[in-house]
Amino acid sequence: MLCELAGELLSAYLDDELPSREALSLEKHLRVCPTCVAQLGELREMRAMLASLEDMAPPPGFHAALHRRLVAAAPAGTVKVASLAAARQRRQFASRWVAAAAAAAVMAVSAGSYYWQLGAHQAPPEVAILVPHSTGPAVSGTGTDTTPPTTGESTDKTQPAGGSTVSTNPTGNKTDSNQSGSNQPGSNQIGSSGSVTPPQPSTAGDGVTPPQPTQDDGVSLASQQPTTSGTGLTAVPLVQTGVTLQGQLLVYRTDIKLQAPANEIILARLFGINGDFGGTMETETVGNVQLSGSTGTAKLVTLRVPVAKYQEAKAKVLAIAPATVQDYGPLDVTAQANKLQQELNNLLAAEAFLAENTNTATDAAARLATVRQRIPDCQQQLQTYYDQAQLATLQVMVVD
Amino acid sequence: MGLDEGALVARACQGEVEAFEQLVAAYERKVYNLAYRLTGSPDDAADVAQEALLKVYTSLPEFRGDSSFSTWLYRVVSNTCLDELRRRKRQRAVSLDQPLTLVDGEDLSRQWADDSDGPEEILTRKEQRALVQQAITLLDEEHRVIIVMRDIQGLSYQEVADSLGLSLGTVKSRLNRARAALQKKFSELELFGPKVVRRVQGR
Repeated sequence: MLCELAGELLSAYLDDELPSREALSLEKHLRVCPTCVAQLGELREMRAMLASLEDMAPPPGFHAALHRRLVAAAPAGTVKVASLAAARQRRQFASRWVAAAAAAAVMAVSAGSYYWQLGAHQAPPEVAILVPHSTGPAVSGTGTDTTPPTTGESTDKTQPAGGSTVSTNPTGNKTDSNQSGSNQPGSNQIGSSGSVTPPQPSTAGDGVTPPQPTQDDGVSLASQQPTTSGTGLTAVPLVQTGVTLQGQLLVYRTDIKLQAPANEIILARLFGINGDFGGTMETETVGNVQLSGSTGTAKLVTLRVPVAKYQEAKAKVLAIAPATVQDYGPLDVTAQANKLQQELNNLLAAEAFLAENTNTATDAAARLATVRQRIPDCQQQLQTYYDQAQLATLQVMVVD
Repeated sequence: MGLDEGALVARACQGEVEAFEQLVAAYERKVYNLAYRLTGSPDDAADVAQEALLKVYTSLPEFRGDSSFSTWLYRVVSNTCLDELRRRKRQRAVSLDQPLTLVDGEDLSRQWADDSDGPEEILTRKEQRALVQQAITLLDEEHRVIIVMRDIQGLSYQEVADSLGLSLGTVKSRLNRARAALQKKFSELELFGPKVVRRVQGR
């Protein structure tokens, strides 16, 4: 064997990927060719050095940045919570809220317009909006955008009880839940009593004192003053708003394994059922799903129907073919949602505070990074609760 | 693909960011490291890895389950990484003065060899790893990606073939050429020989 040919084989030989006949003749060559032996030795050494390179953890902020990019790329109509970027953008436009309020008269308006009581000496927090927290399924981001400062209670009453709700996330994307009158009255009506204590985001520019909420409108404002020490700003102000959801946030979900061929007929029937329950519901089909231990494929169809129509829709799906059913819910996630909201308030407060006090707060940069990493998770999870309380999920796997 | 993954794919397909994030959580580190080894810079890697995962997200409706999700993901990611590398290469030629970046962010000047006037220096393991990384980034993109997948991330020939959309034969021959090219870089950077403690050659 010539060295040139041997050189072609060394790499695969190293990996035990050489057919045995070729391997044998290469070995024969190696016995007589010190050059190729040295070459093989170097390749082996190189491979070991490469293998010893350590895995690295993604840098702090990686998740948060990825999340922001994903949210920005998410299709319109996909419910999502305002990203930090959106929050910043919103701050720029915050001064327009009065005009916007008029335009949004139809919108269900949330009591959860946020203000933040801060001393004039304190820079206003950077984040001007949060997730509407008090309206539950009738999440009205536009409402938070447009609610005048001191009218949390009264505007809240404009929310139609159990009627048409148009959910808008704070970035302005409409969600697709405008099934008029389809919301289940009662179980999903949350927070319309207005006994909510909104925290106070500043809608004011730098140097301007945020509007002070009035205390006589029945809304008790429990926002704490940020702690300011004499020597430096080391304490992060916590927003103890005591926000609680009125009513329950209930989540319904059913997994159905439908024993039917995943053909067009069956799928058409599922789509038909979907269509029967309001034209703007989210639905989707997915690609063929490989089942473990099976050569066949399955179709996975997720129907999301208004909670009020959920049992009806489920019955129709079950009428198609024999099925196994697994119900989840109603699951009461009110407490979790409240807890999350509280955490989010605190995180956003911390973020704003740390961002404004990078030079004076202890370990500001590190804490800011931690906080910023957690915020999107928190927002996302919260939004998921709200979404799921509006639209029950029927996850249908069609498989023979 | 398990049922859970299938359900997550379904939801992510619909645009649910949260479902997508759950879905790719297990792959994130691998994707980041692929990007890091390809770019040689932690900052670029974060950007490229995010770009790649974003591409996975937007391409998800095209996933038809012909292969496992991980294979498909890796394919989208490696394609995106390669595209990004080429794009960046066009945008800016690597400056010779650009500092080498070590794993922990310290800079290792390219002129390190010039500093050997004083006491003889020791090439530490850390510096060696930085040089190995430098050698990788000196390869052209096709060679780089196959080396990273096979020799750093430990993919099998078949997995490399699936991820890059190549035949097994092509993987074998390309890997051979890539290793030969890398071997040359290693020699130039004097990476062969006694390790861990190495004298830096003077000018």
